[in-house]
Amino acid sequence: MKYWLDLYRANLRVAIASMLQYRFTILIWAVWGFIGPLISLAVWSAVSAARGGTIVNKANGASFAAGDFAAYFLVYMVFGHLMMSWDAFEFAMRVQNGGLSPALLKPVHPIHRDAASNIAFKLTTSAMLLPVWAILFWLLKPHIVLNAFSLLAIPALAVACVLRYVLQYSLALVAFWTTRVDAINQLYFTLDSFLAGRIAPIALMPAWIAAFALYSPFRAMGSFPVELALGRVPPEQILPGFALQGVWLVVAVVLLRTLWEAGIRQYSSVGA
Amino acid sequence: MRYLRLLKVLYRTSIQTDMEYRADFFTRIVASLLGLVATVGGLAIAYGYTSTLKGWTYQQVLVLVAVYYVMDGLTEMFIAPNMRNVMTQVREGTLDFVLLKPVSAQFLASFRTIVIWRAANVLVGIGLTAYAVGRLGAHIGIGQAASFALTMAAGCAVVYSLWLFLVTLTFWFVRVDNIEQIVWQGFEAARYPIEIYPAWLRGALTYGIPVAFIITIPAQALSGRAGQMPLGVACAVGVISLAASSFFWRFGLKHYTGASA
Amino acid sequence: MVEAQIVLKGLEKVYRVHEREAGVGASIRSLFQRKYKDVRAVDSVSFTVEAGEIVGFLGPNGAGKTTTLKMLSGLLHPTGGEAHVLGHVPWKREPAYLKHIGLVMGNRNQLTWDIPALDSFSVNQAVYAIPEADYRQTLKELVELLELGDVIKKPVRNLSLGERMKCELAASLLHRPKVLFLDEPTLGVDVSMQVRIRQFIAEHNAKYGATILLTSHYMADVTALCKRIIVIHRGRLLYDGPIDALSERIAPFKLVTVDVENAEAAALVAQFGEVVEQDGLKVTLRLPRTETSAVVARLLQDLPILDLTVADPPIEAVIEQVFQEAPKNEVLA
Repeated sequence: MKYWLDLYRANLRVAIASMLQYRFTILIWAVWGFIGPLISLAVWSAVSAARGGTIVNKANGASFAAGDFAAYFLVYMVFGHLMMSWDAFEFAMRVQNGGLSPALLKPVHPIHRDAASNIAFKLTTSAMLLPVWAILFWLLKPHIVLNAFSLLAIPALAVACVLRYVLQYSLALVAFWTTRVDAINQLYFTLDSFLAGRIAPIALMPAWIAAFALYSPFRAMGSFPVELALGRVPPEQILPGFALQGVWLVVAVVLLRTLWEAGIRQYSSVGA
Repeated sequence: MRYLRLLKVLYRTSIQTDMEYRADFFTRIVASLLGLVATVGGLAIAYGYTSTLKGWTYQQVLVLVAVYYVMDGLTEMFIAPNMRNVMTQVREGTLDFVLLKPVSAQFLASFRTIVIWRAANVLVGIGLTAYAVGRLGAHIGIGQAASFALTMAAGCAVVYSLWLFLVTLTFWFVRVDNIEQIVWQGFEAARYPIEIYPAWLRGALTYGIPVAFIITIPAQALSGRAGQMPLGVACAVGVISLAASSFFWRFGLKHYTGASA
Repeated sequence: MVEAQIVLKGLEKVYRVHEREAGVGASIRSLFQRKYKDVRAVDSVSFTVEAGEIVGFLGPNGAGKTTTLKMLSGLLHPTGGEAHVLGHVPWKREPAYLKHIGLVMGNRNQLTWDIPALDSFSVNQAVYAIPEADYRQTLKELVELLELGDVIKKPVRNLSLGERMKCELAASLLHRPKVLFLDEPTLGVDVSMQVRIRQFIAEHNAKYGATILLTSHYMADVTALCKRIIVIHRGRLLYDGPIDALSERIAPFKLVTVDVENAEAAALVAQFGEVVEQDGLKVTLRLPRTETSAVVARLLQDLPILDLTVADPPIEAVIEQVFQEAPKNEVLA
């Protein structure tokens, strides 16, 4: 245990130091995360304005006013930043240019170093973004309603972060077999836009997409913590929600291990 | 004439190289279609609750998305790879070889390569344009088609000028890839009608990074929406931006070779 | 009648460098109040090169060699003085001028990384508007002379450093430049490849009478190719003349090596002059040129000598000495 703590501490220190070197670049990177939620918010604000203020999905009774959209997309912006991972891109690059080989010589799985740098990124950029978030919350006037279960969003967010990280890393491993990960990344991104409730709250989506989304890993590592924080998950669905997160996490870890072992065999047979 | 021949050779060599990566084309088409699903799907969900969005009907917005795809594809095919190349060349000092050649440096720097598989976005965009225009149900006359072509050309000129301007900044700052990212983010926002954005962002997207000009105006010309910019003005903007960016490039080049020191 | 092809008159390049101190405070201060320092990279350099000459352009790192070459090839504007190459002012960058020059930089590539050199060549053909027949002819010659063979059909990224350098040379020679600037053409290339490239440069010069200005860190390149050298240091011209005369003029010394019979004699050798090297019973002395014969006579007379040789110091050592003593030397040209 102490070994792991020391390992992460050392890796974190290095990662944070190098992040600070490139703070401007890193910040620009982080601002990328703003674009999606803000565009979605703009679209839905326009829709709600066109409908006189509040939108109701007649199929399930879900209702969103302008302030609710602001709350949903702003909280999603913050949570989304904390859940973000870009390992798929980097990993593919490393496999292609041979940068992976030195990492394989180390006695520790490279995922730990990557995870540490992911955490470092989130720590440094969150500190930098805090004032920006504060201004956006103040400007866009979200209507935030908390309820007794809102605090549960914190563990849900933690699981979501790990789940998204592990799943993305598994996806990145596809680079072992093909140099064209673009299409796979795009598929992931497209599914994520709908099923994780990024382009619209799942409650407002057509029934068939919503049904699909509710059981998908995307919602578990996407809008679930956001909905929980804003009190939009009915109490009887909270426990199943967490259970689903757990199931997907197990599946993701198994997937990662299997893919990793097979991938390394492939990598070493082709010639690292 | 000589430049046309040169262009032919340059593009031929780069297409020959791309042919080695033929499978890329399918990857790009798949990626492009998936991206389209995300954009159009999102819009379709929104339009499930309303029939117009700040005056834009669903069909008109589809035209807008289509123009976005065509423009984005053309940029990534013809302009962006060359401009990114110049940025690297300035950093590594190999731009010197471009300057040594007995032809216009701007020409050689701007049209060195073409990434042919990026045509995927252009094709998907054209397909969507045809579909959207069909859905629009309106008859597109010659005049409308011509004004669409002209505004597209003007839009391309503005995109090119914007890139050239950015690249010229590298003569002073060396690292401008961050600014490039910001421009790109602005582009991302332009696949939706800019009327949905708050006033300040609308201003930035119209006058700062003129994506409104590049995408919204051709889309309006094709879908026959009101509020069009007079054709003459659109063409003038295109020509002026070309001239201005070319002037700035030459000015930057002078600085680069130390003529201003 | 051959006329001068490269003429420099008091060419000068002064860089304004922003002085930056370490520390956050200093860097914030420098936002408002910048300190500048003038660096004279090239300081009123004048020389002329005749058509068909190969001239070695020497100097330590930062002497101003590359800056001078860049000005002559039109990549940099000077801050003072003038230069004419082939009758053109280089930094006007007229196409008519650029068509007739070539520049090879050992540490930079003009060839596109991902495509075969042959494709880059055909781009150059279009850029320089080389007629098809001439292009074929020149390419054939270059491929033969440089022993390129199939190398030009492989993507450049798969080539060795030496192969890449040969392709770079070929790319810069396709348009048969009348004036060729070579900046470290053998940098990092292995010895046998250096010899090959050297031979090629000599042959090319002999065949087309191209004027060549060459910089190199490898003195062997210079001694093999150049009869004349120009030495600059800290932007100033130190020497311009025949390579053989350099040692005479700058380093009026001879090296005398003696093999003596025993250790006592070896110890005594030091009395006759400055010992630069001693290897057992073999001792090397450095003697002023004018005194050499007298000292040699005395050596032979006083000591039990088995063998004695008199030699000029190696050119490397001479150049080394020039740079060390440069600050006190005036222009020797």
